Amino acid sequence: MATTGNQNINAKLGIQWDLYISMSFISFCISKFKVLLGDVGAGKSSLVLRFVKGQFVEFQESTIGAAFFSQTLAVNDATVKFEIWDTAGQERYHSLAPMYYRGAAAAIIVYDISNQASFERAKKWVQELQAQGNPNMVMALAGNKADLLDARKVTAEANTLPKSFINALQEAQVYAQEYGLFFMETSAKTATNVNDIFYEIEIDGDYSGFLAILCAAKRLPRVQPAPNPSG
Amino acid sequence: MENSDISLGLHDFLERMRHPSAADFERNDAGNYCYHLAGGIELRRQFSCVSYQSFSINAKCFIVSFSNHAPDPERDSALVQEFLANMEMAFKAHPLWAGCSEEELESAGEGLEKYVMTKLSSRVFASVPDDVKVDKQLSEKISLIQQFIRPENLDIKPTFQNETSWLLAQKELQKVNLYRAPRDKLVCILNCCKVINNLLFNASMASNENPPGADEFLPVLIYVTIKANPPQLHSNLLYIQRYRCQSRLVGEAAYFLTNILSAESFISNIDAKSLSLEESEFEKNMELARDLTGLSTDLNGLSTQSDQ
Repeated sequence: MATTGNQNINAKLGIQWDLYISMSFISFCISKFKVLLGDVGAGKSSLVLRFVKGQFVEFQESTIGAAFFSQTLAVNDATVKFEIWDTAGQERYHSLAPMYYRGAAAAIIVYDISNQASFERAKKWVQELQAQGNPNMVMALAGNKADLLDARKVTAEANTLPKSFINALQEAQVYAQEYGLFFMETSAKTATNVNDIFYEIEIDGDYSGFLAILCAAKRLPRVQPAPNPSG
Repeated sequence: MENSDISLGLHDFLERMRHPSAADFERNDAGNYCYHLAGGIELRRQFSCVSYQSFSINAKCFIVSFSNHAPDPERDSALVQEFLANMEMAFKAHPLWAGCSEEELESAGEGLEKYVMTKLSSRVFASVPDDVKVDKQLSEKISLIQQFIRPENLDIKPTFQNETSWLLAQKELQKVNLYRAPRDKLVCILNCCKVINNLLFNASMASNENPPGADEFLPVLIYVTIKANPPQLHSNLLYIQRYRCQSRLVGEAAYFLTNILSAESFISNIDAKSLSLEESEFEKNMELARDLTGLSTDLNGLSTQSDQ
């Protein structure tokens, strides 16, 4: 089962796993979860749904709820189980967030690139997690709704978005670099980079014995961009 | 997740225990644990002191040992968790379960947990005066707030407002005290969350909204919890956290338990600001609710709690 499962996953991810297939591992399970934080309307749940639907729905043991996702991946003889916990983004629920991110191995902080206020909220999340979260937690910053940016680039004269729009994206990149975060612009609408943001963090976000192997996987070149079946 | 699954697990577990080979259990070191709580604190494992007829006597011995000391949630929880974990390891090693699937072993573990906790619940559920006090305060606060709270106060979008359908979710939550085993209580909470999830999905499909996430789910769960005012909410949540086998309190169950815990936390801290109301309006509403519910005598205790 593991072998066929791998081939399937390889095909889906477009990642070359061959390099370490010859290594043998005893079967073990890494259980971890990531937490998803971000302002209301930043598109947290669409981002996850795009990821889950695009890649995994047909796979084993996938639970899809409104706010909780779990997936078990077979990688050689090992099983990696991960969960995504969504959190409410409204300001009135902010103080409840530690109950969700306590113990999380990774966090994806989502903001809406067309909304400066949601980026400011995202920065606050980063500070809070660095101060209070699990010290080994890996963080990624996802500037969602990148399709809006494409739209702007294409129709430059129909400039309906604020002037600071592009600057904000550069600002986010600089910010992410400064704080050692993964950064990516994503679009749940067109699926741009959605798989990458989850995999980058999946692969690097592991601090258990599996680290070396998965880091090796990360360094392998992608054979092709991950296919993004729509729906 | 039906509660009846677990009754089956318990039945199967007890059936197996009647098998003659169950009597061998005391010769299997891994399985033969008995916790004597002499002095109340010290825990000793006695492998060969007494010859136990069966594994179920082993469990009974554990249960009896509990009746000799005053309730101490932290220690009681640690003892139960250790007992369950050790017993499950013992199942795996015992010939009685040889060749059994993971599901059958899981079922045996569930059966044991249900058996032990059904016997112990009267001793360990809401056993500390502080917890009972919090239950009472929380329930009184909820009975006031439920008089005037509106879905808008919690940021529930109009698309997702459907108070009639939420009655179903409320009923599931109110069942929490009909059961004594931690898993059964947890199932009531999970069923409530499932009903909410389904309603949110249907509403989003009907109105072409984005798929609902935590932004939509948590506010509705809080609203439903306030309207349901489930009995002894605080004690029930503590009981599940303490006595539900830790290895099974993971994944989806852990996520939704975290949600109801955060709902409890939000409700116990509710004030004017957290409902986006003016201070004066909030106070006026609370006063009116006190008159309506006849809880005015507890005014002092309640205001102290809401200050915390």
